[in-house]
Amino acid sequence: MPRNEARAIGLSAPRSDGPDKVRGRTRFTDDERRPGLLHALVLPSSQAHARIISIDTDGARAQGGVRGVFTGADFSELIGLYLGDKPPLARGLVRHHGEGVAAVLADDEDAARRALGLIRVEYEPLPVLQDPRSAMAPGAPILHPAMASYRHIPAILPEPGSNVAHRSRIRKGDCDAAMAASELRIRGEYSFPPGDHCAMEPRSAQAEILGDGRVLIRSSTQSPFGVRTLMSQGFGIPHGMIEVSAPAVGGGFGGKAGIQLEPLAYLLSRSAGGRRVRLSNDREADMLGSPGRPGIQARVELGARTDGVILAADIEFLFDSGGYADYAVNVARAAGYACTGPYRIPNVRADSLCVYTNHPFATAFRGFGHIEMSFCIERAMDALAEGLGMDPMRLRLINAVRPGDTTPSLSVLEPCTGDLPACIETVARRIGWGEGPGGRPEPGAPTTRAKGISCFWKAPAIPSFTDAGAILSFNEDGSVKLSTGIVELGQGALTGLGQIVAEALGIETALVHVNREVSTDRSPHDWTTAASRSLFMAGRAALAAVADASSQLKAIASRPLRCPEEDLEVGGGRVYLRDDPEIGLEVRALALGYSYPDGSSIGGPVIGRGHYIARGLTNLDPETGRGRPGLEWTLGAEAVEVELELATGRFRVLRSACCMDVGKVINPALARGQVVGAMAMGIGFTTGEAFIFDQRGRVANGSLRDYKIMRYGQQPEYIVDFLESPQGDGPYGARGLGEQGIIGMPGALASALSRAAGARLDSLPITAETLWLASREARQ
Amino acid sequence: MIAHDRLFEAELKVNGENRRMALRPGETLLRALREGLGLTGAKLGCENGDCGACTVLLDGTPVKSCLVLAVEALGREVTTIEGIGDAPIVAAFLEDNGFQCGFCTPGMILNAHALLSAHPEPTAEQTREWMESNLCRCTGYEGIERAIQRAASRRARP
Amino acid sequence: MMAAGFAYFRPESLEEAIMTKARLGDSALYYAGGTEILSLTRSGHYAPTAVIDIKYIAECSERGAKGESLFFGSNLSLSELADDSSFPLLAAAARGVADRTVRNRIRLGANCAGRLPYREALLPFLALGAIAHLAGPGQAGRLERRELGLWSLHDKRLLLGPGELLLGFSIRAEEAALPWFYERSTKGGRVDYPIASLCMVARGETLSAAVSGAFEHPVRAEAKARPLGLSDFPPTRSDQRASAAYRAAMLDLALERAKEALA
Repeated sequence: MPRNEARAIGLSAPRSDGPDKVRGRTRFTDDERRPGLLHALVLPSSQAHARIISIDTDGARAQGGVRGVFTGADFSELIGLYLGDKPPLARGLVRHHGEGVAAVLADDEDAARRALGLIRVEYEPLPVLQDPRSAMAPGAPILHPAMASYRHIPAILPEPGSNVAHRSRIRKGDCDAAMAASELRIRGEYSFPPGDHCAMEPRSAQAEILGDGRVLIRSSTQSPFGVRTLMSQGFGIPHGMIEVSAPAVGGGFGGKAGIQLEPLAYLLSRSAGGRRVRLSNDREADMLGSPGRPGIQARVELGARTDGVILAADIEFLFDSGGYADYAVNVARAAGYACTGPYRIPNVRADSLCVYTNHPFATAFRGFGHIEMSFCIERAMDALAEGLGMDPMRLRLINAVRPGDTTPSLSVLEPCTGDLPACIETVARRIGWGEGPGGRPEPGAPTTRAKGISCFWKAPAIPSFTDAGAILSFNEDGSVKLSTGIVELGQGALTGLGQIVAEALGIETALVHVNREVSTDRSPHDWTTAASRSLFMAGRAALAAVADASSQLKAIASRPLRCPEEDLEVGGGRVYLRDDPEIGLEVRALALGYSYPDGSSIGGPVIGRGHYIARGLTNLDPETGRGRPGLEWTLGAEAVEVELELATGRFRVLRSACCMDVGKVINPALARGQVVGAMAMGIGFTTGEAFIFDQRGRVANGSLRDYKIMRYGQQPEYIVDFLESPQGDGPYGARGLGEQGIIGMPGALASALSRAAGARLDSLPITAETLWLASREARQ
Repeated sequence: MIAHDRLFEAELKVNGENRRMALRPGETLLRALREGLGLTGAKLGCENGDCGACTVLLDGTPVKSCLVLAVEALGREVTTIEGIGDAPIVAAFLEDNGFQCGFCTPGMILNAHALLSAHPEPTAEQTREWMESNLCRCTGYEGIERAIQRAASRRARP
Repeated sequence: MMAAGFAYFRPESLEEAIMTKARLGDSALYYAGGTEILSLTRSGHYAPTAVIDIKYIAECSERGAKGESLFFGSNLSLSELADDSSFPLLAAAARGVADRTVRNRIRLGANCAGRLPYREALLPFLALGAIAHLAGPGQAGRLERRELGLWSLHDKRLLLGPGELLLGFSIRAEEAALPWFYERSTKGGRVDYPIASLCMVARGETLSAAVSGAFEHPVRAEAKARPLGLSDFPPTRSDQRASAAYRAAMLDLALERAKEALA
């Protein structure tokens, strides 16, 4: 299999889904609607925390074209990925602004809308919890009094009688002793509110129940098999009687990874005799009704020697999970075991909690606990550097993890773990660290420029049993079909997988057809397309399938060629003698069976089977967090340069640099695209993408009119470098990289803006007004 | 005076074809295209004029079809992504990866195409002024910027 | 949540438009670019039973020199105004609104007479005290036209009579060439409602300004032989985009810059 010259890997192969996407031919979930579909609309709660006194649906039911009106009273099930805490429609109580309180099913959207407008809900407002600390204060209302009865996976540790949905503990070494021995200690508090993914495609689902009870779900999901499992668990339907399919998805970023609209779509279909139901979010429902990303309140203390070596970290992360926990419990868990960032800190005490509040609820978001953790740690590193009078870049270099170091869970970083010091040095050089103005603003100058630097790491935050499968077969024309459970979200995984197979088979990438749709009926099992593990794990499975197919091809070929199988090689569309390559047969003549000249045939369709399961992952000890949660750590550094206009606080991000050690770049253009897109998202995360709440916990900016994401013209110059310290167990040495580009951005950008403003900015978002105020205060 | 207070039949000229369809007076052009004609390239991204995923050309001018009534398009020429053919911008988007998930792409390409038709060698300022009308969540706009530059430079060459 | 559908009328003459509106009453809305009516209908703030499309009315679509005046018809889109160099202050103000694709649709009249409090295309006219040209059903139920200076017509909003339609604004030709200043600040990016949008012209010693975004509605101010300052305006407001203090500071800075530019 190893080749001297790569013919597919490392090349910027054009995206296989490109021609359809640029011509608008790609059909997303809501682009396909059959006649006779019933349309569902959900009435969102106008309150953040309230008892539902009554819901009057009589007027709605009487509307023409209406097939049903439902409330939480109609559905008794609770849904949840890791913790089953959410009713499909609010039952007796609403826990966040925008929570669905009623649903209308009608022949068409207009009828559904008219009916929705006739539903009258009477609320009794309750006290609102707007941040984790308030939710944990004595006397705070308990948002989930029935927590003790919630189904949950063993790794999640809820605390009934409180608003803590999960607590992770890290106890590494002896934090107290190490702090006491430290020559310098810093302490900081960091925070930001919840926000939204704002994928361009709002979530959409269709559900139908066939005559034999088979449930068909089509959804804009990152996790068809995850949805199937949850539907089975939630509604008691055997897995084999549920099909979940996903076409191309218009951006996921973690937001489409859990269970979303599917349960309600199914319940509505069930209520309508199994008729096909469409449930699609408008933008406002997508932002508030469906989950967003968590907020955080954090405390970080670091203890170090005067030479910059960090001895101890004492950390508390309180994640604002909103009204329901969904994925956020695992986000808190991941932030716990990654809590120090990529720094070699021998003594760590960390508590990472997922806390209920009355904010819109949170799910996985790009970075998954690592981005939140990173902001806090990187600000703390800057504070420590300042306290030590040390260059912040040098402090990071001194403490950067190296192979052989241990993570907060005492997991040892493998020899092939990337070269973080080289990443730091690269990014520092590229941004011109130490050159040009970069200190405090000069008195009298209208603008100032400054830079900030940060480090990041992330391993896929996945269950220990995360798996990927691959099936490889051949077409008559010599092309190859690869089937995996990976959903194309825009990340280009399908193209990357095609390149991996092309490389292994020695054929052109264009000859590898990777399935564009995933169906739990037809695709091999795959955990979920998330966590930056798809190319890694499905790539390994695909390679295994190639190996399996190759051995079947050799078995068939060895007969007409009358040679031992082990003398044969598969490559370039042929099966041939390794030591006499002229002698061989075309794959085309073998893959669907081989026919002798007299017509008799042997073999049959070659079907290559491959699988890969996360290797060596273990559960975490509930008291110490000890274990091995991380498959492969992709790490790197980021730096930004900003220009700030002091009088107004207005700023521009001039340049944004990232250097990441990815093991092997499968497709340079697509890899760059992932990092650039992630950096853009990170800039938004830091500078404006956050929910604004009123005093009653209602979101004031729940639309794209008011919740601003980056627009054309606001982008910086992007600088991206990849290092390639091969990942021993990765496909061609590759590691995951889809998320990492966002992780270091809040720290680097907050650092640069703080420096420019002459102030310490430890909470997000940082807006022009924030900077204006900070600069004024700094000057006083 | 044209007056419609209920479902009516009309002919819309879309992508050079006369299409006979049933329209409601309050129906937006976006929904008429998607649901009446199956032209699903234009997307429901926000239905509020904020994201631009619904962008089509009306007599060559980019508009957000979620905020245009279908009835307003009668007598005008509508161009959707399905009708843009082999405009240079399309190839450029492919070469420079001006897209990832593809959801914003039809609107983005149509707006870029209209920009280059109006300004074959747009300045950075003109490009920004037009293209800030379309949100993209995936690309960070780098691939889009390069694609527009590539398409412009191709038009410039004889 | 969108309300029930509405009827659509496309009058071919001014008279037909006015009479149709008079017949249908308050629940019928004059409809130009549709950006405000359709988005606010979807959110439930409007529930029209009919829209009357005025884009084909000749009197609303005129532009250019009329004797010693320059006329700007209500049907001109903000993109057309942004690209029109005959009145640079108006071009600047128009260019600041929304984004280009939306400006392709927003019409001058609707932007000035709409429900949203920004009405930035009105500001240059308000600063100058332009003449507003109106048409309405009048007392006798027949088409009646009138012209009125904006300083009389505008008090927080345009005080249009029932069924009255704005045909456009006219200014004296020389006013378009007066020294001018424009500055618009937002919370972050350019595509957003303004925190403060300032238009100012200098006529000899007199400075005339109009500001929106900083208050609940557009506000004008004037000063003779001295610069305009914050104290010439009411207190700024606070909302999700900016605090009153930041708004005041940005308006203050804009006024400072205006002072330097027009000195």
